[in-house]
Amino acid sequence: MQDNSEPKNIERRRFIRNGMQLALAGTLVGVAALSVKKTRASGMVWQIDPFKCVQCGRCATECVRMPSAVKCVHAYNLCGYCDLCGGYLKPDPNARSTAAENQLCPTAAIQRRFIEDPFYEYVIDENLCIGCAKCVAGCTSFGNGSLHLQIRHNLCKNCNECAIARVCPAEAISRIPADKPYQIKGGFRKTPAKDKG
Amino acid sequence: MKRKHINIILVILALAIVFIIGKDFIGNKAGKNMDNPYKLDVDQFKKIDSTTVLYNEIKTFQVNDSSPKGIAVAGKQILVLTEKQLIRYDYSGKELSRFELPDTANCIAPVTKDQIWIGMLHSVASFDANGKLLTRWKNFDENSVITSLAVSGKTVYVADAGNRIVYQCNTNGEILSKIGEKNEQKGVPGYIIPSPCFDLALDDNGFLWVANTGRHSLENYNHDGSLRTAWGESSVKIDGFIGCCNPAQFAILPDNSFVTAEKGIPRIKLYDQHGVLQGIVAAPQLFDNGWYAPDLAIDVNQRILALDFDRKQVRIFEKNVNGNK
Amino acid sequence: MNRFLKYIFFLVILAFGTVNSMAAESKQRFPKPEFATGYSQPNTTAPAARFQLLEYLDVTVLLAVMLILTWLVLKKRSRRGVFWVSAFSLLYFGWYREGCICAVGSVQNVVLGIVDPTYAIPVTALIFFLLPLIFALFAGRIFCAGACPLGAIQDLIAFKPIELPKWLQKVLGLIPFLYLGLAVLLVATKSEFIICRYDPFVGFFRWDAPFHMLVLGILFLLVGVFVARPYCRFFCPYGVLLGWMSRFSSHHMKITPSACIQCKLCANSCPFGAINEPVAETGKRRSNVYRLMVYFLVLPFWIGIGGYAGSKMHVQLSRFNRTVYLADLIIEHPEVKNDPNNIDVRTFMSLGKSMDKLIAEAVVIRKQFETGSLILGGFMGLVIGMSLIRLSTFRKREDWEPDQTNCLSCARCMPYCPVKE
Repeated sequence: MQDNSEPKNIERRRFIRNGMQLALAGTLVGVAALSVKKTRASGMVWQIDPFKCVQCGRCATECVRMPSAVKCVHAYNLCGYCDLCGGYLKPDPNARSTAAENQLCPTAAIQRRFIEDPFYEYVIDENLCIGCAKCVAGCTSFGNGSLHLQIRHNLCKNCNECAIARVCPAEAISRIPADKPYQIKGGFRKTPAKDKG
Repeated sequence: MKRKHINIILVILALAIVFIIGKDFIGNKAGKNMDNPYKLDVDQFKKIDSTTVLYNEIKTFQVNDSSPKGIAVAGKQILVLTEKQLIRYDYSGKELSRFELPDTANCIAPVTKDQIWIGMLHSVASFDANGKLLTRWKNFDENSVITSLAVSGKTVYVADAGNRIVYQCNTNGEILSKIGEKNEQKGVPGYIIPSPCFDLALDDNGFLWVANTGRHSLENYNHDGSLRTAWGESSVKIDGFIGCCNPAQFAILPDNSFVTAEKGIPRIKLYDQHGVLQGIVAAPQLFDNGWYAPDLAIDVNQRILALDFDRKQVRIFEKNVNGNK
Repeated sequence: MNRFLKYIFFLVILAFGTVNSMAAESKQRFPKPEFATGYSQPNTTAPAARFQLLEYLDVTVLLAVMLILTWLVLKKRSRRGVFWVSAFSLLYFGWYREGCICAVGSVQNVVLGIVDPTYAIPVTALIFFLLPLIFALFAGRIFCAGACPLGAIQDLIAFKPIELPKWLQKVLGLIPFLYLGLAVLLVATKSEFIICRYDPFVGFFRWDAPFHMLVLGILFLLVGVFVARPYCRFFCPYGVLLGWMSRFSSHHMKITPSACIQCKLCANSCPFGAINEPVAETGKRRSNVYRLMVYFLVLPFWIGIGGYAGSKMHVQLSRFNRTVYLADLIIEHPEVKNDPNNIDVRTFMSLGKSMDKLIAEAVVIRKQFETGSLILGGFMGLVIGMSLIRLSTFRKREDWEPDQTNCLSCARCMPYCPVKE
């Protein structure tokens, strides 16, 4: 083997470089091919399945946004328009009124309005709602479950991995196609339970 | 700034970075429990005085179906209605037989003689003991949600939560009268039914009792549809009813006392014939989350059978020593 | 055409802001009350997600930025140009797009797309993953120079860069490999996306982050005042891949436009320590080659040690998976099953899934971790072995050259070179 043979040295280095370059290009093509089989043109967004939600309160505390991009929404079609609303009033209200001490919501984000005897309308003020699900818990256990949580896409940053989904105890948050970005109760049906065990 | 000072600052910053990432990575694993600062705490309302518990749970068995709907007793057998089937069990929980239903079922009437009446989505059907279809009426509209049935001789009472009315029918399905429409002359306040919780039952004298769940009251009607009497109080206390739709289920014992089942704070209670609380049949602690009130049935030995929709179990309660005093 | 119509449809939705989500297709579960006063029920609003077409705009912007940067670095040799492009990237990908979509995190999407049959990777994410790597394979780490918002924000505050000792650079340079390996392992086992979780700067881009992440971001920026681009050099997992590509790139930038005159003027211009000095080969070539061969023979030994250490860690690592964590918790502390305050356990119990099924799932996942940690450990052994080899062998070099693996193609060194074309 000759020492210091300039051209040979450079030639060898170039040969190794070109070979490695080709190998790396091949790897990239391979990864691309593996992935391309399953790509989807439309994006995915995060959303809550309200039928899986257990109102753990983490939507309010774990979202990267403050306040959370999760808000309570109201499926009016399911609402009983009750006077004694389990989502609006504390379980032991002094009176069925709009007095702050009787409200369940920690930020008073639910507005109650009299329609006609005996019906009352409840509307969520999303600017105040923090997504804590306290009203959802009340409505689901005492009422019809017309109040439920949804991720609002005008607020959601669509993180690569949703910080709430990571800790959701019911695994209720999943990626769904961006062209149908909501799972609002009433229109959206509960998926039939697969586990019978 | 001297290089030495910069080095010290950098080491401190690096340690802080390691500390923050390490603490969060190790300490904040997915699945680790976090308390809910926004918990809707109803535990204080679930507390009960144990001396008021009059019944013991003597037997529990699992229903082998994912969607149970109702329960009834036929002699020594327990009938469990599911969305698609009717299943017969003996008291040990052994499945005896099951038959398919022609439509999505919702409720079952207490069994009289050998005829089994079942309320379906927009129809009512009756079957003989072997599952043969005897009658089927489909004269209910799209809005109807049939939640309860009771049969007395040739009269069938049908509770329709969707239209918020009780129909009095003959066994051929002809509607004889509507009971419970708001009528001030008859003293009828009208039903407030915010959800498909709308139960009815007949007392020992054949009078109709209906749970007006939006008003938290049990209403008693004459045969002509006028209001006889009513009782019930809206209260979070043990002797009242709370939530939008309680008592969601009830049944009447042969001595005309009432067994009521509630959702929200799930509990089964016993009231005397005037609506005075006698005691607790099943405490809230016996139930999981209380999104549904258990369906009730009463057998010949006056045991109370409850169908737990969360656990999908038949749970049988019998009077204890406390209750026999 | 069909898709075009769809976009029009989305535009309409966007314009009105709300959708009547109560689709007529499904009947209401329970009829609502009848109102005598003619009350009209409001609709449940459903604000639309981001307009799909804009995601393709992101891809176009990335491609344009990359092309301009390549031209600026290789042809124009303009540091000023690179600076302004990186400022643009910071504004667009950072503050306008708020740090998502990002090539660094897309590694995880690609891995998840390969291992998880239920997950389909969005085309845009795949392109964001591939484009910088393809450019790196030919022209070096152009992406790092001015397309990455994370790099750009650090570049802006590198006021007083100091040179770290070589040994420290080498040791800290191992972190990205570990981070990448860990991230891939946790994604491959469907556990979590740690790269996104510990992105220190995304909070600045959004003006909103959990407190500890904000602190972390500030700490990184403070370090960045003295140590240029600390995240890029000592954390970024995507930089590992870019480094591999760049190492063998055929048209990597040079410090001098023609022949190096050995003036040493560029020596201190690089804040990243990515300029290699000329090295003369010492000793006999034959013995050098012989020594190199011995090192390579020792390499499997390193891999073995790493693999062994890794597989020892698999039980601990697997607890980062939720299923395994829950199964372990319930097995070790059966009393939590009756703890009404443990929301996770209570939710699991009420889902009706049997304990056996949970344990079976946990066993499968732990098995994956066993294999994964073995590979991760072996990989780290290989990385350590290779960097030791590179430390102890000489590579003959006559000119001042960029270290192709670590050079970020920022073009800082170019103005220092007195040689003109």
